[in-house]
Amino acid sequence: MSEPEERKPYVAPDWEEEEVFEVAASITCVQFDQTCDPGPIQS
Amino acid sequence: MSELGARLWKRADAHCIPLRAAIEITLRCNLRCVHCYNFDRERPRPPVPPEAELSDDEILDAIDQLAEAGCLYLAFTGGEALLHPSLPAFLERARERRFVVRIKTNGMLLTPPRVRALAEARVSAVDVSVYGARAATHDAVTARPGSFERTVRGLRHARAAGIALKVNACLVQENVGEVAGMRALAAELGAGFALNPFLSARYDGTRSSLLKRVDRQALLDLYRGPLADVVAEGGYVPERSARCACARTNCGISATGEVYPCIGAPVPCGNLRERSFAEIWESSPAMRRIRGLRLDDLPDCRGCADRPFCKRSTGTVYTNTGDVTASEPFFCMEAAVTREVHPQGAKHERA
Repeated sequence: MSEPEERKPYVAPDWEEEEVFEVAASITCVQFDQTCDPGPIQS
Repeated sequence: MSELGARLWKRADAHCIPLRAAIEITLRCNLRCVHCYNFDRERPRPPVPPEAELSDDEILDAIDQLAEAGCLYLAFTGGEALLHPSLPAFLERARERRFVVRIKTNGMLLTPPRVRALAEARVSAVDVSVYGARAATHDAVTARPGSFERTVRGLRHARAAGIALKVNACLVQENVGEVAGMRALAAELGAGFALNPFLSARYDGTRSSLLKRVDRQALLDLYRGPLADVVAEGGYVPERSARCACARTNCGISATGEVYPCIGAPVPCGNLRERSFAEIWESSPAMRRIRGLRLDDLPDCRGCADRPFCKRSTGTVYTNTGDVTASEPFFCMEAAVTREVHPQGAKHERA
């Protein structure tokens, strides 16, 4: 099974700097569920 | 999705940022759905006693840990999430941490005061489970007379409060003839609609939920009929890989604090009562294994002609087979049916 060789502590992204909250909130329900590939059958 | 939104998800996938989490805040439920994946609701006692579920403080801490890990999307689920008396406190904390919040519910408790509270808490959307277009059908699936009427009433209250809605349906033998009606109901309510034909075995190890799956002919009729437009529109990815959002951008936290690669993938990775979320997310061998899965790791899938049409979900495959690399006959059947009806199917005839 493929597995990354290095084990580093998890480093979280600094969203505050990147101002992503508005972008995150702008994604609709259906678009959001499409990010779960493969997702359910949607209309 | 905007270009910025797409870049956000691409970055999260590349760096395995747990952008989306679902917390199962309770296993208690006011319905007894025949296909429930939590546990067999006909059993006299749940496998997890209520006192073993996460406390309010533990749930609030989990919300904080997820925010610190970079999670942006949080779903409260159950059981029935609206039964938890401390849901308002969880919503407040989630709002403070700037989450985009969704609630997954059966809608029975969406009363006018509750939907007002949800709107005030700026819940981004409510996903409501509907299992039929007629009361008799829905109520037969939920094993609760009157549940359809209450659920539809709840949907209408939420709609009136301006809450974005999505109708989530599981496809079972009882409702296979009512898919068009369920779509029409969702459209009437201005709600999105999603249909999941892939039922899971239960997390308590019982499997009778799988007996509710529809057969090949029923699925074929559905994909040629009421779902022909959506099946033709999606369902075809020429270079589909083994990768799904499990353990890459998705995670789940069970009612007892187990951290899963997805709430639909009950793979033991670690418990929040013993280790931090970040430690489990980064270091759990099971999490890392799933994250690194490639098509070559799936012996039954790598040469399959139906692969471009396959909706294989690591979580459901694991739940139904106990092996994240296995094939699962229902997914294989569904992919073959999709190929048969899809406009691109002729390009992928079996050798």
